[in-house]
Amino acid sequence: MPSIYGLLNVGKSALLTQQKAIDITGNNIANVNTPGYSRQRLTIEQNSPVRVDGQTMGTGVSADSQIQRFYDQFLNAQLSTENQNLGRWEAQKSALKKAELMFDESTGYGLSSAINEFFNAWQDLSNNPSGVAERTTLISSAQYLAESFNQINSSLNQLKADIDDHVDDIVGNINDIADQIADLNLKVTQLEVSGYNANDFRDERDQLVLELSQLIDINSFEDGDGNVTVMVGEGKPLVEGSSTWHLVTSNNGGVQDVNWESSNGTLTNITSQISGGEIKGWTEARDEIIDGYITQLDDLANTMRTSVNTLHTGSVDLNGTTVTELFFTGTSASDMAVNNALVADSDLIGAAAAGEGIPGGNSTAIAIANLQNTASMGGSSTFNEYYNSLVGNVGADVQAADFNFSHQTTMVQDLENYRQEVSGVSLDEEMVNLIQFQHAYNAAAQLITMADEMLDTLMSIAR
Amino acid sequence: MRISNQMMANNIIAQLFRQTEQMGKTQEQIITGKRINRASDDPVGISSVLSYRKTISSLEQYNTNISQGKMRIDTVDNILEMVGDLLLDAKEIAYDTDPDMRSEMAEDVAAIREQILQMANYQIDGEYLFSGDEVDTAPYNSTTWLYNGDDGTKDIMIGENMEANLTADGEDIFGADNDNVFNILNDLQTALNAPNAADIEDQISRLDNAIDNLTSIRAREAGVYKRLEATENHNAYFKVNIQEMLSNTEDADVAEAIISFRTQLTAYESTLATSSMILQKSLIDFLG
Repeated sequence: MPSIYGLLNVGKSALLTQQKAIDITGNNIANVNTPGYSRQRLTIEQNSPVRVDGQTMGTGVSADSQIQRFYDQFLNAQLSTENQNLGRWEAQKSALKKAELMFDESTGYGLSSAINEFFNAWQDLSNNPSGVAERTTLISSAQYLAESFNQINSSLNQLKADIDDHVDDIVGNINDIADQIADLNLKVTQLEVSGYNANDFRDERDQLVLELSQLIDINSFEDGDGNVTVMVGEGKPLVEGSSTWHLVTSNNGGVQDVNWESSNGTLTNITSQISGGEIKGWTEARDEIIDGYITQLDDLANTMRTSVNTLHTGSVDLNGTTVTELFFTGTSASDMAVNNALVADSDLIGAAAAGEGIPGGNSTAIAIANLQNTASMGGSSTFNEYYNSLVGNVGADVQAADFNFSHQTTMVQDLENYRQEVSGVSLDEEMVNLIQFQHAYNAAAQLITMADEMLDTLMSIAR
Repeated sequence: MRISNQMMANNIIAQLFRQTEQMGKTQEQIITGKRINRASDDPVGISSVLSYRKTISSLEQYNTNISQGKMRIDTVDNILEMVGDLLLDAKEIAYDTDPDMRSEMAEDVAAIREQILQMANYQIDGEYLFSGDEVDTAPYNSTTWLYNGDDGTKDIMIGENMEANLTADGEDIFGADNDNVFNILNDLQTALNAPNAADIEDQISRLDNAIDNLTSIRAREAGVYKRLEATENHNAYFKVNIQEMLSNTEDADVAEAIISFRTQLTAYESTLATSSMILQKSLIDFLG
C-alpha cells in the first residue's frame, strides 16, 4: 500500500535534488568568465522503484555523487600543442620586432646612408685633395659610419641580454607552474580516491598545463590514479605525481641556457631539445636569427675596414709621406673606429697614390670611392647591396614571425572556441535550466504541502 | 553549435583587435605618407628603397663633382682664350715692319709675356691651375720661366668607375723648356731689340705652333666639357626616374589610404554597434 510518508519522501528527494541542481547552475553562472572552467551538470537519476500491491512505484529522484563535467580531452591536448607554437611565434615576433628597430632605415638615416655619405666624402676629397674642410668632413663621416656599426652591434647584443632576462623569468614561471600542478595532482587523487569528483581541481590543472605549454613544449598524460605527468626537453620529467623537478638557467657562451636539474642536483643542458613555447621563440631568435645578423654585420664592417685600409696604406698623405697609418682600426663591428692619428691630424689621410704629385693627387681617394661600386662582399655584392639584403632579411624574418603568430592565434582561437562550445558556460542556457529547476523545486514543495494537508485530513478523521 | 558567453566575448575582442590593428596601420600610412615604415612592411621593397637611395645619393655626388669640373674648364678656357689673344697680339707685332717702333714693340712683347706669366700662375682658392698635381707650387718661375709642376691631371669622378681627366699640366699648355711661350716671347723681344729681321720672322712660326697647341687643348677641353654636360644631364634625368621609382615603392597612396581608413572605420563601428547589442542582451532581460 502506498503511504503518504512515501509521498513526503518523494517530495523531499525532489526538493534536495533540484536544489543541488540549482546550486550547480549557480556555480556555472558564477564561473561564466573563469578561464579554463568546464561547465558542470548534476547527473539526476530515478530512485529504485518499489513493488507495492503488485505495482512498481517510483520512489523519487536522487543525484549521482559524480557531477558531470563537460570536457573534451582531445581538444585540450590539441590546444596544448598549438599553444606551444603560439608561444614560440609570439616570443620570436616580439624579439625580432625589437631587432628590426635597430635597422631603422625607413627614415633614411641608418647605416645605409652612413655608407653613402662615407664614400661621397672620399669623392669630395678627390675634388679637393688638400681641402681642410673635405678632410674634416671625411673624418666625421667615417666616424659616423664606424659609430653606426658600433651602435647596431651593441643594440643587438643588448637585445640578446634582454632575451636572457626573459628566459630567466620564463624558467621561474615554469617551475612555479610545475609546483602548482604537482600540488593539484595531490588534491585530485586524494578527492577521487574517496569517490568524490575533483572537477574544479581538474579544470585548474588543465588550465595550468595549457599555460605551461605556452612557455615550453611539454609532453603530458594522465595516469590511472588521476595524476598528470609532465615531461620537457625530450623525456625529462617536470612533474610526476606530487613530485617536481626544476629547470635552472646558466650562462653558456655568454647566453642563458636552460638546464634540467635531476634529483641529485646534476644539470643537463636541454636548450637544444626544446622545440616549442616562448622559451624556444626567445632562444631561437637569440642564438640563430639575431646572432646571424651580428655575424653579417661583422662581415660587412670587417670587409669595409680591410678594403679601405688596404688602399689607404701605401698611399701618399698631404705631407708627401707614404702612409703607414690604418684608416680604420678595430676587429669587428663592435670596435670599429677611425684611427686616432688621423682624427688628430687629418693631413695624414692619404688621397694621392704612390708616385703621384701632392697635394693635387687624388687617385687613392678615387680608388676608395670606387670601392662602393665594387663587389667586395664574397665577390658577388657591393657593401650597399649586402647591407640592403640584410635589412630585407630582417624584414622578412619579422614578417614570417608575424604571419606565423597571426596564423597560430587564429588557430588557437578556433580551438578555444571549440573547447568553449563543449565546456563554456552559456548564461542563456543556465537561465533556462535555472527556471526549469526552480519550477521543479516549487512543484516539489507543493507536493510536500499537499502531503502535509493529506496527513492533516487523515488526522482529522481520528479526532 | 553551443555559444558560450566567453566565446562571444573572445570573438568580439579578437575582431576589435584585428580591426584596430588594421586601422592603426592605415593611419600610420596616412600620417607618414609612407607605405614602408619598417623593413617588415615590405622586405623586398625596403631593399629596393635602400638601393634607390644609394643611387640617388651617388648621382647627386657625381653631379657635384661634374659641376666643379665644368667650372674649372670654364675658367681654364677663359684664361687660355686670353692667352691666345695675347699671343696673336705678339704675332701682329712680329709682322709689323716699322723699324722705328722696334724698341716700343719689344717692351710690348715683354708686357705680354708678363701677362701670360700671371695667367699661367693663376690660382683658384689658393691652388694653381696649371702645375699638375703640385697645386700649391707656382708652375712657372717668374725670372727663369722654368716649369715647377708635374704632369698630373685634374681627375674627377663622374660615374661608377668613370673619370674625366682635365688638363692641368702647364708644359702641355704653354710648351716645354726653351720652347715654352715665355722663352719664345723673350726671343722675340731680343730679336726686336737687336733688331734681327730673320730672328723676328723665326718667332712667328714658333708663335703659330704655340697658338695651334692652345687651340687644340681648348678643343679637347671643350670635348670633355660636352661629355660632362651630357653625363650631368643623364644623371639628372636618371635621378628623376629613380626618385619616381623610390616614391612608387615607399610612398603611400594617401587618397587610397584615406578611403581604406573610412571603410575600416565603418566596419569597426558596425562591430562596436552589433557587439554592444549582443553583449547587453540575455534571457535575464526578459524574465519577469
